[in-house]
Amino acid sequence: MALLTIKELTISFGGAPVLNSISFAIERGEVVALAGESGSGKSMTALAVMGLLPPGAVMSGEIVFDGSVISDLDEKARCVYRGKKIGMIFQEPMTALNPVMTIGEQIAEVVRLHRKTTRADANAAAREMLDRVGLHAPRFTLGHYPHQLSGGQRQRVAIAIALALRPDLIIADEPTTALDVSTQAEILDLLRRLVREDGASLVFITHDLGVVAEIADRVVVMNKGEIVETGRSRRYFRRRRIHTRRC
Amino acid sequence: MKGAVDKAPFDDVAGDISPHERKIPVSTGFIIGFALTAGALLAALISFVWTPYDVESIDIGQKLLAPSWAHPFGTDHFGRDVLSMIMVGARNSLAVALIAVLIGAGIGAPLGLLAAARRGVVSEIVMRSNDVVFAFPSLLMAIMITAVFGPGAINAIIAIGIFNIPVFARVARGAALGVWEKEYILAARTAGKTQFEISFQHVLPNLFGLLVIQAAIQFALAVVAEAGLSYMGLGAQPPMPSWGRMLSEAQTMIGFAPWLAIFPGLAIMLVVFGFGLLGDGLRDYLDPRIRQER
Repeated sequence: MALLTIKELTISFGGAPVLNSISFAIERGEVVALAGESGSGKSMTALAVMGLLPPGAVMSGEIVFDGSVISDLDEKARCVYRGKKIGMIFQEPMTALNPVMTIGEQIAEVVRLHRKTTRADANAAAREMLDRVGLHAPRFTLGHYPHQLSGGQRQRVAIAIALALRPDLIIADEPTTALDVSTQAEILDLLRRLVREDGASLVFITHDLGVVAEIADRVVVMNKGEIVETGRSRRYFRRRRIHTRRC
Repeated sequence: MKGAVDKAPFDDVAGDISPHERKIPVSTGFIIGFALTAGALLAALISFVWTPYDVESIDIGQKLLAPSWAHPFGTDHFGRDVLSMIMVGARNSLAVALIAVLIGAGIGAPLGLLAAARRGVVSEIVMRSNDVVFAFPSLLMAIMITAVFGPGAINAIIAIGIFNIPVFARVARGAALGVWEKEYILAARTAGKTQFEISFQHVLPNLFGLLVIQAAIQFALAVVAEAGLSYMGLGAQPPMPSWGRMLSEAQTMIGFAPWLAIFPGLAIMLVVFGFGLLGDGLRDYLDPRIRQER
């Protein structure tokens, strides 16, 4: 059974559709790239899965996660999924961390939110996650503030937060777009390694086909709110069609 | 240090990372502000155990003495020592202002956070009821409240406190709305946090510096408001000395005994000034972003 199944998902704002009846599924342990140009509905799909659509959005269709329908759950039930079973990483590492909390607090907090654990255990888990994302002690302590880190390092912290509870599904919304090329490669390597270690599935949203080839098993190409192509990423790059050839 | 870098060789290391425990240089303004407020607080605390003279005993033989070694701030028309009265009056001023600001911040800030988190109808209800309070000139309302419920320190606190609520609600809501748009709030929501948790764990800490500055300003205003109420005889009642009443009693004697007005006036001014400086300094200290730039 697929881990995540999206069935005929349609989203509109004030009558104007932004997603038009899209359907796809993601298997366990699979890395799927959601590619497409700006405004094609990639991020909206991700927010719909998290249940965090902006106010005013009208949604129809069904989202099934791990055998249960999550698209019609209320806010409280959604919170159980967020973070614990589905983690999310954002595009802009400069704003994705709270500037007035230390990075250790921000990781430990997610652990304590979903697991009944002592402060010391949560801090130990935070330390372990920082090591996993390559921010080792003593250079990187739990007491660092986000402004003391570079963009790439902050993105590593954001990954540590999203993966702290080893969720089954990770959604990464253009996590490398704001970074320079060499840092991009490091973050991609890191994400791929962590996802493989945890046996998690990854939805990787990007408009960069180089990144798609680098990381994805399968690619779903979106354009103007519809899925226009889908396939194994290797085969896809051999015979890509008009929608993406111009990118 | 070198070993640590070898373990994590990034291309994206942004210069040297300054340790979190780095010493923070303190501004002159903060030192002056701290000294003034600490001085006022100290005077208030010492007055509980010791004052140069008893503030309640009347000694007509000593009346209206100009400042001297025996009476540094002079004496009033009942022969009471002005320095002692100012020390005891500090208690009243500081306590009224502190509690009033705590009431304002304690009720106002959560209301503002709620309005920012829930938006829509809840936000409208909170902000419009604030407008109702804002619509009345605060001192006039404070006079009304003390006139209805009777003069006294407690009613002065309530009257001043009520008018601090919308100030804090407004500041908290405005700033919180900005914070709610930040990506880390979305990140916190994807981590499974409720609006309540986000409001108090993520939004409030980001507003802390701002609320501290606002509290310092409100504190200064509350000292002035308390002095205003006592000036009209609606604050603390005799024989408890208060700075505002000392000013009003000095009014008729200002021609031949100016020290009766000068010293309470100076006390009010310095406390107000001190809290302004203290608020600014605290903001610099509390905000980790500014803290590093200094």
